[in-house]
Amino acid sequence: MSEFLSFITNGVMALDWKILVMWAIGALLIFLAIKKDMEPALLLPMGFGAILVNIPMSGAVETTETGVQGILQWLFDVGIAASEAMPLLLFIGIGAMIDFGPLLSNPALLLFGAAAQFGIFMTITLATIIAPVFGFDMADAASIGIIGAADGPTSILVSQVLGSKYVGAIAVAAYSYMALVPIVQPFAIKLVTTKKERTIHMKYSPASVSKTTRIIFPIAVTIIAGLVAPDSVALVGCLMFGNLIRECGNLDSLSQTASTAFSNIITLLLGITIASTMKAENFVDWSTLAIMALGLVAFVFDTIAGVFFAKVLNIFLPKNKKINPMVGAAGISAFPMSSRVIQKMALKEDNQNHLLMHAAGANVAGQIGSVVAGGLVLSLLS
Amino acid sequence: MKSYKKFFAVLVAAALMIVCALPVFAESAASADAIHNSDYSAMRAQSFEIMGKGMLGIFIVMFIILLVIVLLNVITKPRKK
Repeated sequence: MSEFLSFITNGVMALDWKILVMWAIGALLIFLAIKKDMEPALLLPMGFGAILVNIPMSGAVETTETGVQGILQWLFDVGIAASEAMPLLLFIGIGAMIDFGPLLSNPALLLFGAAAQFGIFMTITLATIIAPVFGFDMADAASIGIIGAADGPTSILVSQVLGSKYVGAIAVAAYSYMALVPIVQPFAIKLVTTKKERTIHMKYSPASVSKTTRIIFPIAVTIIAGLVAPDSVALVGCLMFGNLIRECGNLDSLSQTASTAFSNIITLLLGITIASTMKAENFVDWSTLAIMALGLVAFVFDTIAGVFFAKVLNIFLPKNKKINPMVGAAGISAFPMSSRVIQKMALKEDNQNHLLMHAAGANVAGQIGSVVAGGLVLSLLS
Repeated sequence: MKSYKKFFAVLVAAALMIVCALPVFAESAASADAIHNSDYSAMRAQSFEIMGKGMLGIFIVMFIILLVIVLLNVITKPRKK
């Protein structure tokens, strides 16, 4: 009788505690996406995917006896493993959404986009320090550090290209902390600034930016970044291609499609595909907790580095041209959330202090800085 | 607020001390595996090299882009008639 019913009980008998933990993690991600509205476009597919791939002998990932591959495994092999297609295609959509106007009218903000990538490299070093405990190699350490890029596609692409074993954990950490920017950044900023510094007013006098500049900008950035870090060409190129479609002015329908329907389709598939790396035997490990902790460190040090860079610049600036250090914190790539957080913090300290456009300029600079950082890490480790 | 900052400063310092002490425990546990230990030392050294080159590279790229934007803004600025 038990043999007769074994076809029903096989799945249940294959359950172990790690699988149940993954179900709980999947449920948690779904809860955070729906109830707390934390990056729902990514966390919900990842949460559901985590449950899908952790059902024993799951048809979503296993290959059948006749050679038919599970859909999630196929999506991963084709959409990520083969050529990093999904993260790169998503970047086209992101580029089509970004308005670089605030940055082009005040290009000095680019430097904050550079400074705020320090958390990446700080975290790589910390990961190498704890590497003996968790068995991280250099590829893993660099992939963990890239969580500090505060950019999901960059994190996924770099960790996959470097062949890290922790792509799933890194993706979950990256997207989770991007959603937690409204909590992490204010904490980090208040740790290293005084109230007086947070109330520094900055005038906003935007210089007009010509259409020619807006069109040449993405082309120039691609060439410059590509010459310095050839491995960044795919990342930067896709981002800037999307932006070029937006700025050229006669591809409105393409721009609209790229920034809406196209991005939504890729986002939907990317989230559930990344979940195929969240198998219990790989994910339920002390190293996952270490990666989550290091991801938090990366975000905190990104913020602190941006703030300190602004403070250093203030040493050389006249009294009426000081930079509010919080603008430096907006140099991370979490666009547009970080700029909104800075605006909110500034208004809370002084309801006449509007920093949104300065923060937005630094924020889009951070988008460029993060993809350049990703490309440089790949170049330095190749 | 001051005590809040002090508390987190102590917490961060403690965490850093633990993190720096971990390799000592790991290396003593794996003392027979000399090649692995030297790999981790090389990794730490490489990470500092990546940090220096990486930050320098990002700043160089961003500075060049900054100059290009300034140049573009000057060249394409509408001329006063």
